[in-house]
Amino acid sequence: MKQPVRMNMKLARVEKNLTQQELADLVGVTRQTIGLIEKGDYNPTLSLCIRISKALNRTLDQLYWEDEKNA
Amino acid sequence: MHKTPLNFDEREMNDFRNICTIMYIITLFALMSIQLYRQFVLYQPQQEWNDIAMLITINVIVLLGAVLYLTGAVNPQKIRWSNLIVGYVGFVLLGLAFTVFKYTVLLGQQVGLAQVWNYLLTVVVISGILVVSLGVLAYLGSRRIDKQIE
Repeated sequence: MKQPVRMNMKLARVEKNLTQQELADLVGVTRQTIGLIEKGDYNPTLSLCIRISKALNRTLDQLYWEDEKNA
Repeated sequence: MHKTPLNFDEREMNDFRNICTIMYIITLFALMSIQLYRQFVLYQPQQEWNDIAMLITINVIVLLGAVLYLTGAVNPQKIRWSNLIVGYVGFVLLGLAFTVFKYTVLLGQQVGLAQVWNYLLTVVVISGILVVSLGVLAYLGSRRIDKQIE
């Protein structure tokens, strides 16, 4: 099932002035994986979600929670 | 951070596993096709295809056992006896029907009642051993997962 586009994650990354490659290096995955997560084509594990949240200084809710009106 | 031997990240590892699974299924079906073709089309003697048949059999049994043990997904204690008995009888009848079909239709041999009885005994014993072994593995797997949770 296609996941919703992770706009919050992309915005948080851009706000931190990180490229996809830099974020990927920080959390130990490839740039393609970050791109696919942001596009909603890959559903990351909880472990990776937490690493990304920590790298972007956000909570899991802020990055991944979908409000009903925005979903 | 979890690193795999091929230095894959989790998405690549998932894709790699999916590809391996598909390739495994394709290989298994290819082996089955080869074995059936040799046995029933080329009518090769058993020693010509026995290794392939053994490979497929062991492979499938180990696969089922590993899935039951490592996932712990099936708890035999929660399976109803009636379902188990119906499944076992169905398994035996299907095995017997295939064995008789194989000898009469595919190999064109005459099969008497005594031979059918022998086939039935063989199928009952082999199916019984399989069901009990897989049941034990399922039970052990289920217990293993429960212990991990504790």
